[in-house]
Amino acid sequence: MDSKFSNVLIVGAGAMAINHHLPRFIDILGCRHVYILETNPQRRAALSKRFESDTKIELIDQLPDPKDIYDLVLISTPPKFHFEYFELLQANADVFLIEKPLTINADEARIICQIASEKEKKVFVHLIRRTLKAYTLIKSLWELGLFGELKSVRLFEGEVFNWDAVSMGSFSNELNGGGVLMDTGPHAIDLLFQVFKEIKLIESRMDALAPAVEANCVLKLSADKGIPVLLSLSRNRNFSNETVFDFEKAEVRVGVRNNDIKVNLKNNVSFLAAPGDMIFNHCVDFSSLIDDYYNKYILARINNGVGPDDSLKIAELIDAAYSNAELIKGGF
Amino acid sequence: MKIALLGGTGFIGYDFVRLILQDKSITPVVFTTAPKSLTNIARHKIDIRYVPYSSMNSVKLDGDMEYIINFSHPFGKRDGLITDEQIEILVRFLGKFLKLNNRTKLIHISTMSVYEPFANEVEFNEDSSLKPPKHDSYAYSKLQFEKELLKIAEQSRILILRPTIVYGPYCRPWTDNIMAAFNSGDVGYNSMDGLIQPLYVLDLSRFLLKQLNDFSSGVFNIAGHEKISWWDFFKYFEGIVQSGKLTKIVRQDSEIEDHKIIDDVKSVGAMLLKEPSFKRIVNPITRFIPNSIISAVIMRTKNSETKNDMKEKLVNNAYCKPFFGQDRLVSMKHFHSKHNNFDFTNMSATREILVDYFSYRFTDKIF
Repeated sequence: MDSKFSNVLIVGAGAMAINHHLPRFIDILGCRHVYILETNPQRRAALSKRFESDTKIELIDQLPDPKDIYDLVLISTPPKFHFEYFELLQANADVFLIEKPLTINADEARIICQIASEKEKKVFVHLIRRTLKAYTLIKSLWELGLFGELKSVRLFEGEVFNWDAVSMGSFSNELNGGGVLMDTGPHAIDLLFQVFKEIKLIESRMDALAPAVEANCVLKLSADKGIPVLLSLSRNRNFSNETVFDFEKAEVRVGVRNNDIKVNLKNNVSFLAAPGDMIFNHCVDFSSLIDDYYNKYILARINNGVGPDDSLKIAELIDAAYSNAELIKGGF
Repeated sequence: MKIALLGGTGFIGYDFVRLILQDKSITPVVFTTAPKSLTNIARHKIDIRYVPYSSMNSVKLDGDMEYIINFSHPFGKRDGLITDEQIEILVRFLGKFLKLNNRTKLIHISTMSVYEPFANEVEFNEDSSLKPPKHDSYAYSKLQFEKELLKIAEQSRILILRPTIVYGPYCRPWTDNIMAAFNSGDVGYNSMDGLIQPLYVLDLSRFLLKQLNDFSSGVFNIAGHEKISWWDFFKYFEGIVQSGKLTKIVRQDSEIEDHKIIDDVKSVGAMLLKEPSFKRIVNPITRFIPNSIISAVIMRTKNSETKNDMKEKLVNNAYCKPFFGQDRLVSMKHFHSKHNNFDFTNMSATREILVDYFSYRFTDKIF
């Protein structure tokens, strides 16, 4: 198979890169050579052993020569290093896939947007919830006025942290820039941006302030024409993982990680709904979201919705939330 | 006072950390082998050091630790090492700490509740012969670890606590899982006549804190002062969750065995579904299945569900095991002989806090 993505470079060999991106480079993009840059000698040694019989995969410990050209560079390090590696590797590729969040702060995101625009680099941010169709459907229904005026929105995303982390990255303010808001926050805010054009911060509360790392975060936001939005994220609570759209004539509950839509009309009639082509295919999980992302965006080389400009809006909101955060008093 | 905590990120360890953070005279240093368990503790401004097993023996240790409190228990494969290898490394690590400063003392939290077999109406004391069956690798490794620790420390410098059934915020087996079970439907049981002495986690933390100022070495059972049945224990949680009900399931032994096998198969299936490589193999295959077949399967499943007894389907059978029919009692004579002034909390007094905890852990309530 003649792949458009024959020769690729992975920077950072954490669980996300190795367990989720690497298999898709091989299976979906059809990559022939995958170079993995890992600076931790122990991790590199463990992976070298694991992939010793795989001729497609090679572990490296130093940045490539600027003359080495890759069809795609994946940056999957802790967010602190995203910008640094993007800058260092500019000459090595025209296509970049960067793990979310795009950068550790909005200032760096702004520079990436500028470089991408000036040097015609195609940057994809790994915001996999863009493949969900339920939120654009809700937006259409709202615009059609099917359920009347939208009064308020509440998004709850939380479960007990169970990511197979291989480093302290997720719990280091220095490396990650924060906790749950830097972790699932970009995904959740991205869902809101699928419905609203503009979102402003009103109030931010967290259960830990820097240099400690929050497990819970509650943001009061204002969207478009002043619609109140509550965003509650957690790493140690089991939430419903739903967004509740409170319309004039109905309460609509939409999954944050799938396309489930439950409509409760104000006259007590309830029904389930799904985007048109999802009736028998709505069992969405993390793995299929990533597959869909690769097929819809990377393979098609289209970054509408997952480009750096889209992530800049998210980064600005997150920056504001951390700058204005107050401590949550209750809880465990 | 500087203290080292191993396993301070787990249920009991984290409860203790929260308690000692209220005492400004104590400086805890938390050593962890698992980054994924840092969620709660990372919320505090505290010295956390990630020490994977592979580099544990090359870590520079602090010579000014007055206490090392070990909550951790190496079990299962980690960092490519089997349980025995992890125990060996951890024992050596703790031994190095003790050698560094001859005033440093070791407190090890072991677990009496896993040292099977128990027997009805017998209160096991600290001298009872503990012979967990070899097939119970968890209990067996607990005991092995405890024995190894007793070899590395002088008797006057080591305290081993053997708590029984400990419950409270963030306890997975005896709080979270039971709450989750009632929250998702009825909870079935076959016999819950077994007696236990549930211990509220904060009591254990308070006792540990007391030891930092008034250390007494030795091996001690530690259990709550109420002797209740598993049935009472589950009823307590039923009342907190206020959703599912405790439901008697009358089954023959052979049926229980069948269900155990089905549960095992389900567990294997669930494990496979969590495995990314399995999904990668299966996903592309399932994509070729026509929608018409998927819809037919969905319809058949729905029909079969309707035909079955729906009540039976919604009952959680995880607690139908013979385990809950057996007494798991320990003697507190030795404990009371040394610590007769220590007060334990009644279960009824912990209800309000666990009602709050349930709202926190399992609902969307804004705090």
